[in-house]
Amino acid sequence: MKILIVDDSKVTRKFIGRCIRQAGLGAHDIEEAENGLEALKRVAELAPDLVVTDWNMPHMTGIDFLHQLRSSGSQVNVGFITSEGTDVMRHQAKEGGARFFITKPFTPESVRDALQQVLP
Amino acid sequence: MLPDADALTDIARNVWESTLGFAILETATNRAAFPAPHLWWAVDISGHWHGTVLLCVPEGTARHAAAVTFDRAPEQVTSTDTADIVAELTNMIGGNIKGQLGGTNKLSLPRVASAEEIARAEVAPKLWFNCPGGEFAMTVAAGSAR
Repeated sequence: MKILIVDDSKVTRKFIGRCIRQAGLGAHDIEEAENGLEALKRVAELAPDLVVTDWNMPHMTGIDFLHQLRSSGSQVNVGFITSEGTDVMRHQAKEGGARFFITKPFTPESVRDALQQVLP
Repeated sequence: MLPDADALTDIARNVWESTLGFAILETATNRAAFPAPHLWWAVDISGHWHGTVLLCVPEGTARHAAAVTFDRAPEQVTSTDTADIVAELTNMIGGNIKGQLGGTNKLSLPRVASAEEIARAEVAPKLWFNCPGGEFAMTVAAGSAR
């Protein structure tokens, strides 16, 4: 299984990858992208099973990335891990087809609980 | 409405402990500035509430945090690593503060604080924390700080 982590912060990509491993999901291949534009290319190349994305990123927000992904025909599972967690954002994410929405700071347990709903 | 000092302390503690895995301890307010060098990062919140969250992290504290994060010895940590960790901590704290504000607000991307902002923040009340590797401070400036 492949998981693509999309975040402009190298630190956060590292944190998320570590949490996935600490959550007992380390057997999955973890790939990274720095922003939504790069992530669109990576999704086409890698065909990941899950994309975990930030919301607040340069060039393209996470929700715009999700909309473009769906516009391209991709139905890959997408979830958000983001610093902001307003009701409006959660609603937008759900409407866009996101499978989960985690607010930073996150723990291995919160990541595991979210990913287990998505990954087989 | 801006969260009070206790709520801001809880946010900083939660972010620091969840992210880096070690406890922090609030020490005092209205202290003098750190010995240089230190990193000042900021995020802006705009909308119903308008202001800037600033984090001041001495280079030694940032180096320790980056070393823990990247599983490296402190001497192997680069300036990019220290900037990245402080930027992300600032982003998380700002995002959590934004989440406690009423109304609709936007959060900027984290950025290096300007000299003017630093000059203002150095004399403003700050929350100070001790943590492994040193200490750090946080302040929230209501209104446009830029």
